[in-house]
Amino acid sequence: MPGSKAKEIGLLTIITIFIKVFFVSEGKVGRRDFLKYLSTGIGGLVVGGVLGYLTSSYTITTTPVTEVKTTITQTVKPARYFEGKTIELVVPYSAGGGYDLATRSLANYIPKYVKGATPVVINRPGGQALLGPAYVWSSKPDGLTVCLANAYGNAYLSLTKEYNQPFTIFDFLPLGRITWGQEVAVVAKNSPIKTVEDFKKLGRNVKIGATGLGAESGIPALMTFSLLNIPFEMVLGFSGSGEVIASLMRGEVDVYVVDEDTAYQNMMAGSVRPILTVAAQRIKQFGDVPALGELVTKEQLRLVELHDNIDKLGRLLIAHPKTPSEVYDAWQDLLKDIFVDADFIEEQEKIRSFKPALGDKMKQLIKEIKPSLSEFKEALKKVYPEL
Amino acid sequence: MVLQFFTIDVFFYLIVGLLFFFIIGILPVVGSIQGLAILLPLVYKLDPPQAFALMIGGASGMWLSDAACSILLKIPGSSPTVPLTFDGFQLTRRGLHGYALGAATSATILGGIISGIITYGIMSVLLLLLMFLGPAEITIIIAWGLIASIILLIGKEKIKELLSAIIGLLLSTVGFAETAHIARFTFGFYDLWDGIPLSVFFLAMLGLPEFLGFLVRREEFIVDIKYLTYVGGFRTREFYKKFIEGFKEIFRSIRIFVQAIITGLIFGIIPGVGTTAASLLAYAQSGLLTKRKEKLGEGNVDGVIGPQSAIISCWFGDFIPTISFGIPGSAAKALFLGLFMMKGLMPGPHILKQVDLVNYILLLVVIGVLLGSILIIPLLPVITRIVTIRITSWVPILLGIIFIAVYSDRSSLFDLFLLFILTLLGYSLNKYGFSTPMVAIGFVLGGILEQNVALTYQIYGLSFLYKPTSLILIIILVAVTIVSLRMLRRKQIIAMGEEDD
Amino acid sequence: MIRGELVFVTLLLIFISYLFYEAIGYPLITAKLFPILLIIIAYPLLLILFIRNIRHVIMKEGQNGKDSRNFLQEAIPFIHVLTLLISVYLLGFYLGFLIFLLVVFRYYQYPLRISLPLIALAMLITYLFSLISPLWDGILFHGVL
Repeated sequence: MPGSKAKEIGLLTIITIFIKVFFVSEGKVGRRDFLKYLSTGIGGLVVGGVLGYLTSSYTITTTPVTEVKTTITQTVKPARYFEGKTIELVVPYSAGGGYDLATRSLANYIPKYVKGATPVVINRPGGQALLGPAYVWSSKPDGLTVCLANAYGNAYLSLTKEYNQPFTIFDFLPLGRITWGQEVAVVAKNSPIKTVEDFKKLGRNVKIGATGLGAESGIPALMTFSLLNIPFEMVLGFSGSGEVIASLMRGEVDVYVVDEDTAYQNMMAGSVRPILTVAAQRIKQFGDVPALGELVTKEQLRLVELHDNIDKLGRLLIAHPKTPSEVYDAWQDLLKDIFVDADFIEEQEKIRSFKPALGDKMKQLIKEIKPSLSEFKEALKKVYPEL
Repeated sequence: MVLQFFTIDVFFYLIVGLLFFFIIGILPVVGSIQGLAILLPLVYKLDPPQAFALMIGGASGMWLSDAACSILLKIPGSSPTVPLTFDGFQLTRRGLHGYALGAATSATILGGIISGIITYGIMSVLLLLLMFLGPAEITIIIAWGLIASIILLIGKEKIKELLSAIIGLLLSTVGFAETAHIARFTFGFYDLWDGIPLSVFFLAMLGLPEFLGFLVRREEFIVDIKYLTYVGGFRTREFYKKFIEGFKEIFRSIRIFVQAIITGLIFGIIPGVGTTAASLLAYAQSGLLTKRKEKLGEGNVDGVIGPQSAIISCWFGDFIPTISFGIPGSAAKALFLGLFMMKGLMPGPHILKQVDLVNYILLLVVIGVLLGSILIIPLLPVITRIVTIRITSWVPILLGIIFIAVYSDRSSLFDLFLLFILTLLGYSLNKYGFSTPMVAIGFVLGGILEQNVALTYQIYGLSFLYKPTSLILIIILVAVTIVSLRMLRRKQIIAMGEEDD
Repeated sequence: MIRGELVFVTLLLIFISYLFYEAIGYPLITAKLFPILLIIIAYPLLLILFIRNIRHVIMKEGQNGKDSRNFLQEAIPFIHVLTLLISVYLLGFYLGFLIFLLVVFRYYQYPLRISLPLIALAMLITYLFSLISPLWDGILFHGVL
């Protein structure tokens, strides 16, 4: 409401004037001084009121969702909802990383398919990639604030004991997935460990390096080594995958469970060697590296498959759960076009990989995962009570 | 050969990059990472040599303008240049800003040349260092740095200064501790999960209290009023006279320069330890090794030469793990890594076979550093005019710029609120005799220290002290400390002797 | 000024005690260890300062009156910062900055012919910044470059 802005400004100026005039000025406050300050205040009120009124027509709140419903007819392309609107794309990492590049790439292609839409990329790093979804959670549920979340990482994080957010990643509305990847356990290139059995021959606890328990290197690693019945201890606290790999090469930790793309790059760079894929089946680009699914019992395979499903959440574009269905349809329409754009695909492949999926499929996936989550957590807690 | 890369348009992009990063450097708080983030979307369509010239070459040239911001305004141009706000600003207060800038320039230029040569020449040897410096060694180095800083900078008010270091260490514990997977002292705010942002901290502790102090004391100019007309270093000719004097100072402090270069290189090679820690440590080392009579923190120009050299050599050192293993040495390099991969360049040992490209990148960095510094020299007198403008006229604008810069870092209004609260703390600490540089040192080193102590303990238990590398390191550091303490003691005796005379 | 220091040290003591209470409650020792160690070292030091201050106050009675004046004078810059913070929070960067500058330049009694160009300069800088990153809360948007 334009009026409230003017009120706020007026209140603010009056308070400031009050403080300044009556507490801070030295000497007597003459009438002329007081008039000066008062005129500033009134001027501020007027300016604020005018500007507030002008800007109110640009703010998003003045378009109630019910109005939108009546204007979208069957013949109009749903994605045109975004015309003239500003879309906020939140990146839960700081600039320059994979998520950031992928989001900016997406933002570049939005105006191509919807004229007049203004995409804006915001970085909200921190909280282990939780600040991004938290921002969406506390924003207006109009579907214009979305986040490319580290969905699988956030999912693992929600399994830890200290997780005390009012939401989990499963509570959001999935719009579409950009890509996903599985994890691979790697050892140093010159490590004496050549196969999984060699771990047991070490005669001591296997040291697993990880950036944190809630990261993708933490819980999947936990799961892997407990299912394989190999005694282990976690070495937590590295700042990033680079440090863990350096530690691997120094021989301080024995193994590192990392996403397949990083594993592949480092394998090509000659620093690590893959030893096991943490998945139900083998991953193509790693050739004949065995999969965890081949080494576990039938009951345990269920857990591995659940883990795979969580991985399939991947880098997920999420929106507020109360987003109206028309906006959801608009997003699906838009993403449908962008995801088949050849240039977009090429850009995404350069950044990491492109394994897209649209909202409906992701909704289905979440429905499959949700019920078995607590079982997963209990199974892990048995082996690692501090979870 | 390498020269095939240097086409005309590459130079064009280099100049554009240098210009852009010059502004980024002069702007307070906004540092290399923010600048690179801004440019990143623009380089999609460029060829690799052009993109590298724009971003890598440009960012390398930023350090002198950053230093200028820190020296002149006491607001760090970006986190690594914080130590320059200590002594550099004291020199500005005495009207000797030309002198300080000259020293910073020579540190930048010479540091760039020497670091470039070293990096190019013995890259494989430096890579080996990566193999030997793990969490255990880092713990020892940082712990030593902390203790050395406390011993060195402790003055008369021992209790307060020790407390300052402890406050800094406590502030560094705020946030989510990975090894403990608990969020500590966050009072329910998500935004504190990653701890207090570095830029907010430095502004609140070191930058803003000084400025607010000016306003309180109703001082007119940055330069202390008694030096305003006396030194007269505000006309161009006098400025350059002082500048050249400062430039030559590096040759009197060769030892400090060499020490700082080594420190910076080592800290650059170690992934995860940032440039800020390197420059702070170099600052402490300069204090230990300085032969000048001024005390560190009161306008000792070694406090400018040391940190600036460390910053430059750390910038070079960071490239080594980034290019050869894809392990970014610091946050800005993580961005470079993104750039490399965007342009199809896969980092790894095999990349060293692409000799031309690697040489091109190194050469870009050297040219960036040199050109960035040299091209600014004519502009310096203009920039330094700011110390002669009435404070009350531009401090409000500066405040606004700072707010915008802090906000745009994490798009978070909470950061601004945190800035206000911490500024209150920083101002009070300053006023009641606590030492905010000690708080800064505690804060920066504390985070790294705790993380590495936890890692060391998880990996080795207590036996990390028996490792051969650890023992060698301990012996070296203890020896350095004993020698430095002897030198300090000798200086004190001489100083007391002079007083008696 | 001794009085002020006493207040400050007392506040620090209270705050550190609260931190101690919170740190003790953390379940894992790796989380507790570092902060508790630090607080344990800090406590006696703070107590020493505290006692020192009280001794000063007792010995030098009759220092009143001047402090309240000083305090207000010292609070001015913080009121500036708080003003900026509140106005930016309520109005966004352009408007908030604008109002702040208007009020502050008036306070320092700059004539309009000096303050207006400065304000224009500030608005220009803000605009340039906005090209880089979106500035929030109720202002006209500018897209990312």
